[in-house]
Amino acid sequence: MARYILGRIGGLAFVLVAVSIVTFALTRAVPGDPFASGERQVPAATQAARAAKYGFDKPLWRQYLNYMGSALHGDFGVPFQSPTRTVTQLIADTWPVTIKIGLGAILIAYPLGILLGTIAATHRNGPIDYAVTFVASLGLVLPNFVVATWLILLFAVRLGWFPSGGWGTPQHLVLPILAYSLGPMALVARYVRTCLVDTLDADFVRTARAKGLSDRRVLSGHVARNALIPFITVMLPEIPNILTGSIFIEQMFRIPGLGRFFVTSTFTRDYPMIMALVLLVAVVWGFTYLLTDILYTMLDPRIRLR
Amino acid sequence: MADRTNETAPDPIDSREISQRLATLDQRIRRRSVLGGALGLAGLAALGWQTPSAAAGPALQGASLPDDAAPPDEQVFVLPDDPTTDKTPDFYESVYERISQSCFDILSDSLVRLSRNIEIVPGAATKWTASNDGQTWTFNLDPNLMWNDGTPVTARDYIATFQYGADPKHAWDFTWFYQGILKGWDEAIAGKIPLDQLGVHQGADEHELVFETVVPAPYLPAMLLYSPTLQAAALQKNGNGLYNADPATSVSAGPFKITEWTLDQRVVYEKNPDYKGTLQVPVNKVVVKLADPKTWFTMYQNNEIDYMQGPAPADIQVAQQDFPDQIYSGVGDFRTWYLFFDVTKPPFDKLEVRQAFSHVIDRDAIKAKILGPAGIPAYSWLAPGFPAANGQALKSIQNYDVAAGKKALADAGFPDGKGFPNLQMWVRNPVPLDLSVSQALASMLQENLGITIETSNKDQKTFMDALTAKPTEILFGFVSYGMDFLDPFNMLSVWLSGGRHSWSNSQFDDLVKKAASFTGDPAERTKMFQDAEKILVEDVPGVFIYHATPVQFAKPWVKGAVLQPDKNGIKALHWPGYTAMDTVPAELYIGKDAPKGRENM
Repeated sequence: MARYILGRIGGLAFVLVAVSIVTFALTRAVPGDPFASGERQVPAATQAARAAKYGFDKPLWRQYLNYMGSALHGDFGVPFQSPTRTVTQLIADTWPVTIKIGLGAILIAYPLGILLGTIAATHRNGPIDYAVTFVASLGLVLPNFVVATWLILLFAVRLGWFPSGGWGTPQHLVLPILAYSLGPMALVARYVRTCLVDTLDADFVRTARAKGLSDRRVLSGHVARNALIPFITVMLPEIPNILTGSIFIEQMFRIPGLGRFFVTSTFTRDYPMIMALVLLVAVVWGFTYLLTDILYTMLDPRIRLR
Repeated sequence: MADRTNETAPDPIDSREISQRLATLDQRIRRRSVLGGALGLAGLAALGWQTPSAAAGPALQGASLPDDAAPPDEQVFVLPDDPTTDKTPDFYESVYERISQSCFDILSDSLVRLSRNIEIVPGAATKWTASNDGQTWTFNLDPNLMWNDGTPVTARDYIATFQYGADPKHAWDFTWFYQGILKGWDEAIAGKIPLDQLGVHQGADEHELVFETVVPAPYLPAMLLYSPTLQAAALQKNGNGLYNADPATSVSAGPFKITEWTLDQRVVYEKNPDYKGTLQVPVNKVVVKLADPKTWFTMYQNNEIDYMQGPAPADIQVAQQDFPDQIYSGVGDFRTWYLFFDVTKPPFDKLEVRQAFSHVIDRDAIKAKILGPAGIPAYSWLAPGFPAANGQALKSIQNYDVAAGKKALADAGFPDGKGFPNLQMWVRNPVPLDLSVSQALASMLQENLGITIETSNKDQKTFMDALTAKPTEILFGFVSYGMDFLDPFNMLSVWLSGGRHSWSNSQFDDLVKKAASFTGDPAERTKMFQDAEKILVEDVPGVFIYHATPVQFAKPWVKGAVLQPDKNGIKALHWPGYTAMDTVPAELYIGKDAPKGRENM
């Protein structure tokens, strides 16, 4: 197992190098000077000075090697958007905020989704199943910014129970976490229902029932464990998505998190920040898949990692 | 909850009223030009390059609170800004990535300010004079000005600030501004001369600041609206001008000091007790909430901010229903929105094609159906009220005349649009209003000329990179420009050869350059600018669509002269906004009808 894990981590290093090359090349290929926001043409002398200041006057391969050399020493540069701090400081300042919202959403979405999915599966094709399916479908088709708008209009503008946005008090957490959790909750509920329904029809469940086991024992001892494998395959990788933030939720609720930088870094051609964010996401995803594979072996002894 | 309407109140943003106000402003400015005092600027020539009289400045001293004001600890003004441009509060650090829509450039005084009546008045400079050739300008600094670390504000601070702006290592995003104007500037930004050879130096004493220009520059005082100074010592200590983004290292000589800057959340300014200048402010604290502009209207409705600008058309409609008495519309930065062409490439190398485009845009319909209070129809470049504006006289050149448009297109070889290439209209980083207007423009051109146009929305950087490339990479687009300083030279210089667009006209260039440096009769100078604008409008490198009259919302408890009609009848918080570049901060206070608990906002 240890060798397998080390091998996977080594593989991840190669993935990161490949991702960094592709990202670096793409950022430079996109038209638009990072500093071309003015109304008039920047004098050629100033353009040259800028190029020298940020190293853009060097060949691309040299720029890349310089970047990677610094990155390997923990220096990911200074974000163009916020030059009073380093990229590392900016991520350290903003990511915990995003994680707080994301964890809140996970803590609501996953348990509630599992509960609703289980109820739906055990009451298959009945009114409860239809009701859960309706709620889940609503959660899936409604974008979170629509949900956020409704929540703000109702609970902030009309009722005045919560602030319309901002950060710093527990009240600021309620509406964004609600808006953010509805989609994942619906997804979890649908997958749990589907996985449980498939497993409930399996031969080994019929056998377990024939042995005289109670429904609860069958569900907890046989069905849930087997249904977890497809569930984990699909739902665990959702977690990095949630933990790296939602641009819509963060912008609408004025949350000072990492989410907006995925968009603003692109629009502002903030090369250092784009590189760091892509590498961060690649690392998080790499470790999530590794964790998923390890969980497989714990749930099903027949699976061996080599 | 939305505020209730005053249903009997007249609509404060009636479009005819705005047009009337602007026309009045236009007439007054023209009249003043003829009399030799246009905005205290062209008038400098006639007055022997002297400072506008002290009477032209506002009565700023002693900002005691009026009877209807909230108590001092409730004097908190809250307004929003966009977090994507919150790199710095200082102009000379970055123009385009600084806080610029809320409270900014307020940590020191500019040499001059814009008054509520849109006139240049003294700021940090108590007076200024020019040499006979108009190339040496001496500004006398207010000796009372102090940094809040106890050191005096001197010419050294302004000199260091200008040197920082010209420093190639800084690579400032606004270096074009002084190109060809300040002595040594072009050479300094190219690193060809040491920064201390820049034409900004100390005069007879440390409170005398001298600017040398390479051409006679009667517009220099107006340009120096953009002169909020950094502190020389702090620049030297920190190595750059970012020190004001951190309250721990910030130093102020302005009416406020920064006490908090929380990333993506808020910036807090508190009154600077050590301020000794002329911009005495009633408000004790300004809270800038950093938030995506799309959320501002909700914040406003929820009383989380006191003021906002740039609402979307849908927001304006809601406001007209719910709180019409809180809507204000001013002249902003005299911005004009226009279609532009690359006149060096077919089909726009043909004047008739450009004329055809200019005749088939129904500006009145755009005004009525889309703009509402946010703009008025434009048929020329200089907006009503701007010095040398001549809109009425030029209106017939690009007038709405579909038959004339069709004929011009046929004369160009494209009868009924046959054979005309399909076009893409580039639109810069559009907000909802821009989307609506650009789609209406495409639709009118298609319908009236029988040609095919699709709009292509581009982000700011892609658009500007392509627009300013030499040669330009945009064949056809829709964009705007607003003034940097209050002189026709500034707006008209956009169209000089080698500038923003590919259009080149030597007669236009000569007239604009000659007028810019003209130190004789102001009326003659105005006439030269007007002749140049006529050439511009007739040759149609741009089709002028509308002059922006930016909409603002302000809560009823935002009080003071700032929201009362100025002497031109315009009722709005004037551009640039809540900054020491103008007199707005001295003329705004919070009324006692404001919700309580403001000190905690």
